[in-house]
Amino acid sequence: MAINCRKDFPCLGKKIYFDSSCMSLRPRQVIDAMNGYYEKNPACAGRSSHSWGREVTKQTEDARKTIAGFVGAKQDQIVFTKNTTESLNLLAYSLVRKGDLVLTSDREHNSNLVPWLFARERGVKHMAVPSSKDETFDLEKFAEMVKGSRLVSVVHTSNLDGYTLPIKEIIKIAHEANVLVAVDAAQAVPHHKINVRKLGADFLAFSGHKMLGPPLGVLYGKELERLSPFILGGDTVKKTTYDSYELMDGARRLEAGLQNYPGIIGLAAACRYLGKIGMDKIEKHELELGKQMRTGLEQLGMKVLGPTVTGINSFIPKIDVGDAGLMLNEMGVMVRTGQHCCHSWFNSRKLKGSVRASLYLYNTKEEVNIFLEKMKMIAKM
Amino acid sequence: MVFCIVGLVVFGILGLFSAKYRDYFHESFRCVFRMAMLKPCDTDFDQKMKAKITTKLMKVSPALANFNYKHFGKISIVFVVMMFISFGLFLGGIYNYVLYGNCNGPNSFGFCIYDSLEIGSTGCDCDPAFSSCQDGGECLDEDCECQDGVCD
Repeated sequence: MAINCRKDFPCLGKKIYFDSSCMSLRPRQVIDAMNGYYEKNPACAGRSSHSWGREVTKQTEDARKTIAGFVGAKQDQIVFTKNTTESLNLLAYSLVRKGDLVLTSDREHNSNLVPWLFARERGVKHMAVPSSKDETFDLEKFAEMVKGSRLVSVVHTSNLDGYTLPIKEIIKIAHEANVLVAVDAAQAVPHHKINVRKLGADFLAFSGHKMLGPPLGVLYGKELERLSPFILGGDTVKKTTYDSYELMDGARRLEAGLQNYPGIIGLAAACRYLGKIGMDKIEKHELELGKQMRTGLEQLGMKVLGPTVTGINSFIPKIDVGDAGLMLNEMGVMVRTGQHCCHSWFNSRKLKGSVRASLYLYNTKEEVNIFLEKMKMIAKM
Repeated sequence: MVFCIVGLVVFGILGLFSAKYRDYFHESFRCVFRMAMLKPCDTDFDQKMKAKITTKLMKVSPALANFNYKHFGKISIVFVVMMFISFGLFLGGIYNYVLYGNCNGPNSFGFCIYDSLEIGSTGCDCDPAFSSCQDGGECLDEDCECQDGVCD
């Protein structure tokens, strides 16, 4: 199912871009929305009473509503951060104390592993739930390990191979054990239809730059008030004296200082753009291309990681992965190589890394065919 | 790492004529500088050049591309050695030219490569007036060698 959107992406040309899991491209609509801020009313929101200030305030509040609605949340249930990494760090800072046990999966991005490892220094315990032999999430093992833990923080869709964990089951089991659940949805929200209320996660983090938007993070929380801010300053306080301060109520105290207003406005434009196309259509398109790519790579004798067909194909060629990536670049195909910030997963399996080709709505069957032709030449090395 | 030595010279010259090679020159310079300081190279210049050359060869001959890929390190060493040898020969040529002039002898302005060769000639049309032989004692023979005797 082709999606006719390439004309909206000004940077798409002769080169093939297969690195959307790192950073997606931006359509003209998002670029224009951000430029609109700079060209028409580049002022502060929520502070100044002049006309530009009021306009920006209105635009950012409307944007907040749009972004929250995109994931099925209420306006006051989301806050803006720098990225998913900052959101997860905020959770690590706020939610757990000495003696608490945090569970993650064994295929986490460093941003959902390192904060918990770092928290060990203040007495927080961490364990990774090992995958089953077929590399799927082991729900039985998880059910044993979750008892007595304070928080489960897991990836929804892995950036390594696009595998989606059984999140609904994980949340159900965790909640039955009275354990909070945080979800790293950086690779999920751009590619799947996510409704946080139906999902039931207590916290969910995602990034704008992986979903056609600018670099910006969004943190959803059922009750964001339970989080303590780790960055304080303007907009986090109702009142200060030289000796005291009074924090704002609600989630807004987690957004310190001036925000990335063009980013917020741009992300809302990205949400509208994706909503117009339809997340189901996007998911189906990626799966078709992903299957075409995976089949082609397996026919060339490449080991493709991951237990399921997804829009992310990580594979191990016979030559050095760095060399493969450089050669593909010379041939006009841009991919990612290395350990994709999942060092723990690769190190535990004694693998040096992989080549990752990640697809999105603007990629086509023809691009996948060209990529497979190039890989056929590289496979002869 | 070795290929950056070749890259330094090649891209240093090419960079004089085209801006697109200057980044490569800077990268290879950084690599060579670090090697001179006995530190490891922190750019992937060699890897990039290997990929570039391999992909270009793939269009011509997959077997050649494969050979280049597998033996790039050794090929680089061969190129570096050849570069130093040819540089040495070049310096030797400059030295000989300063010392002996061209093959027409010192103070001659011809460039004998372009001189026409007559049948039976030695190929070096030397002009006795510009010979380096001692006055009155020696003169040039057919082979442009200085000989004792009275010159005609």
